[in-house]
Amino acid sequence: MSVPPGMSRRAILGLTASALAATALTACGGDSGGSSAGSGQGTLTIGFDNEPVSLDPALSSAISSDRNLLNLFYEGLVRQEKDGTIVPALAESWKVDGSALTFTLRTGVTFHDGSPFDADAAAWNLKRVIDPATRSTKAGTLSTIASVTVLDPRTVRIQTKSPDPLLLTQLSYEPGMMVSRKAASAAGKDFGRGPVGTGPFVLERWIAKSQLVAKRNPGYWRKDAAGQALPRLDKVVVRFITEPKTLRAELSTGGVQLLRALPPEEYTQLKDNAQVRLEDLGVRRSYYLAVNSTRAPFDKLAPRRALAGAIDRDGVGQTAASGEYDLTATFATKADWFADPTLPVPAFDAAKAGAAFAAAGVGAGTPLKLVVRNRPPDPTIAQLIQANLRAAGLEVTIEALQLESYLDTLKKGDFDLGLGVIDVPRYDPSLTFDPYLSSTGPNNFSKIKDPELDKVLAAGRAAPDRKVRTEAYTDVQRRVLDQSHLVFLHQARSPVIHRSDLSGLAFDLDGQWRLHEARLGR
Amino acid sequence: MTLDLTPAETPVPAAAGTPGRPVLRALLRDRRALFSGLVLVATIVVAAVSPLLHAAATAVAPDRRLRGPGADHLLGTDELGRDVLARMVQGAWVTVQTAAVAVGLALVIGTLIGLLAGYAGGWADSLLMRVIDGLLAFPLLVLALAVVAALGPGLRNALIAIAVIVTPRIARVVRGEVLSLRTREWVAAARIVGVPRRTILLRHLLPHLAGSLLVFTALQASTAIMAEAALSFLGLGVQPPQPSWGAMVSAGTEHLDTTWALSVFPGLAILLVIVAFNLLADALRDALDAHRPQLRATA
Repeated sequence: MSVPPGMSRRAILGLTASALAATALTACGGDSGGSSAGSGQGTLTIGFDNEPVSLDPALSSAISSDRNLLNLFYEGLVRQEKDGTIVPALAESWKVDGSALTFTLRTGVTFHDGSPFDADAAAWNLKRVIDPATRSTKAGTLSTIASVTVLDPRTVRIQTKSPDPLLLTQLSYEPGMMVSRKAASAAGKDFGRGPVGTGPFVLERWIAKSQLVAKRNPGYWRKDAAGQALPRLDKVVVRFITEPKTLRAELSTGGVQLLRALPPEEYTQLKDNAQVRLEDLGVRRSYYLAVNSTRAPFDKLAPRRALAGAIDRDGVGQTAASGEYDLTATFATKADWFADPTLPVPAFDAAKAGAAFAAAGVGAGTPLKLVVRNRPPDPTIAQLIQANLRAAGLEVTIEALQLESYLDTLKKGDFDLGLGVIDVPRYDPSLTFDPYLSSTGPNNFSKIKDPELDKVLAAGRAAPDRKVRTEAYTDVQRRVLDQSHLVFLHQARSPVIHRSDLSGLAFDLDGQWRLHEARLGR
Repeated sequence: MTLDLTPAETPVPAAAGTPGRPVLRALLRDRRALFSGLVLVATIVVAAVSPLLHAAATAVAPDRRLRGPGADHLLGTDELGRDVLARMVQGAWVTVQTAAVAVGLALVIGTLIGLLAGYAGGWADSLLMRVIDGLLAFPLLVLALAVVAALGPGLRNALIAIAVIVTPRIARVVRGEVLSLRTREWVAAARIVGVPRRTILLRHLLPHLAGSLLVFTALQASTAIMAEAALSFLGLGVQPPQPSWGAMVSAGTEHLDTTWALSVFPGLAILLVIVAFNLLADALRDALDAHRPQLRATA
């Protein structure tokens, strides 16, 4: 340490000591000050591994984890609870009448920049998402809307081309999030870096690749059950950390109090830590094999069926999820309302599978190309599948690729098997199944062209009644299992992980947080 | 040139290779040489028996994954329940191939280029050396990565990449030696009496280079093994399910905090072989230096 001129060593020692004392005092003050201030409950620090590109809900990526941060700043007209029911948010009530949907809005709500939230703002937001000039990634979800009309400052009506049973659900998430027109118009293309909504927190600063700081919105409209102002936290600091081991270390030392996700390998090591809670909300990472049905041998049904029995799903779960997994028949989790426990998980029998391959005309040593993403644990799963299929007589070559070339290969169809993973549950089964199974689905990597499957998918999408939908989605699952277009592997548990002194967390149906009632301390 | 010699009396000095016996004796007295010889012979023997353990090295068993060293599996099991020791034995074969095939290839091609460039001189020398300089300008691994990127991952292409990075180094050393040797009187004499150029290069010059070339090649072998390990670490070398030491270190880093043995033992194996080649090169140089009387006298 170099001593500045004109300063004695003793003076510096004194300064250091007083600085230390001041730090200690503020630390004490911080602990007790939370409750005395009434609303302020200190700073929540979050470890987040997936920094969003844009926090403009209309332009945010398809990755649902972005919503963890969007929920800090924005709200929609309505909200979907964990059980799937729709509850009021910025709209106090609504009325469905055929293909007309009329919302009565909450009064006295303002955006972070002070501009009022009213029917004009709501209509402008919906039109913004639909407007092709916005190039919204969510435009497709609101494509059934024919017109949006402002009836009076509190009332807005949406007219759809035909009854759309999914519209309210869609409006509960990104497509329905309300942004400030003033701020969005002023910022233009940069709005995604400076979110302004009506949500519980206001952006303070966002330093790319480092951290995002949001402070309490003092004018937030929502009160807790006891009538206390929300949110309770003063500040939310989101630190962008990608390395799972670093995230785990930060959580165990208290450097962060909440994590987005950790691989099973890491979180199982936190199970004995009394200061850490693992809360299983039913979120699963569902692994699957896309089976390319456009080229031999899997263009035929018999080899696909043989494949389904050739893979040791329990072995994959043990290996890739440290035993923290469920075996399910399809993408439906055990807790989903459209899950059918009678659907069978194909039994693993290497000898039988080998015989089935031989009977189907797939000779010993048939070469197969398995494409995977080059990130753990996918290459490990690929090696296990390689060993399983070798036992059944097939020679698998693994190609481990970076995300872009991986997706490119899957889309072009230059593979036999592709290992993939999706996060489930999604907020509607149509989002779980359609992209992967529909003949026009963007993620239909198996290249399925099955009119029967398309028919039952459409039935499930269009029906408003849950009982009818359950039947339709059972048919969907039965059909895809019968045709073996995908091999469903294990579903790795993905609990939310936080320090035990953090409470009051609320969650979207698919497990993304809402922090308006979160609090730290006892 | 005032030499007046008939071919029969051409005083070609005994080549450096001739004092093989004293050099060998010196090496046997050298503890470094004994150690490295032991390690390298052991590696070759292990590599030779590797086919016997191939089944054990690739048999997955998820129910006994990530075991530490123990009685059933001396060095434990990996993330798929495969025996680490059996996999290391397979890795030894890859290492031997690297040292033999990649370095061997580089040795032959590099020596030929060096001899030609050094002896021919002129535009041929300039052209060859500019290409070599260009190759040497790249950091070692960057060049290897570029070659693998162009050819695609896999053991064969990794070996080609390693040969590409080692060849220019050998060519440079050979050319330097040739430049200093070709001005010697006995070379001039051979030329004057009409000995064909190829004979001069291969019969007269090459044996004199053999000593220093041997030392340098041993050093390059360690570089090559390191490069192979690095490529495999990045997933560009041997492809699964075939193991290699570098790939094993890489896979083990995922589990370093729970099953340290996964990375540590293959890492130690790489270290041991590299140190062995370096010590061998040191010992060889010392032994050769002490037994080069003819060259010393004429130097």
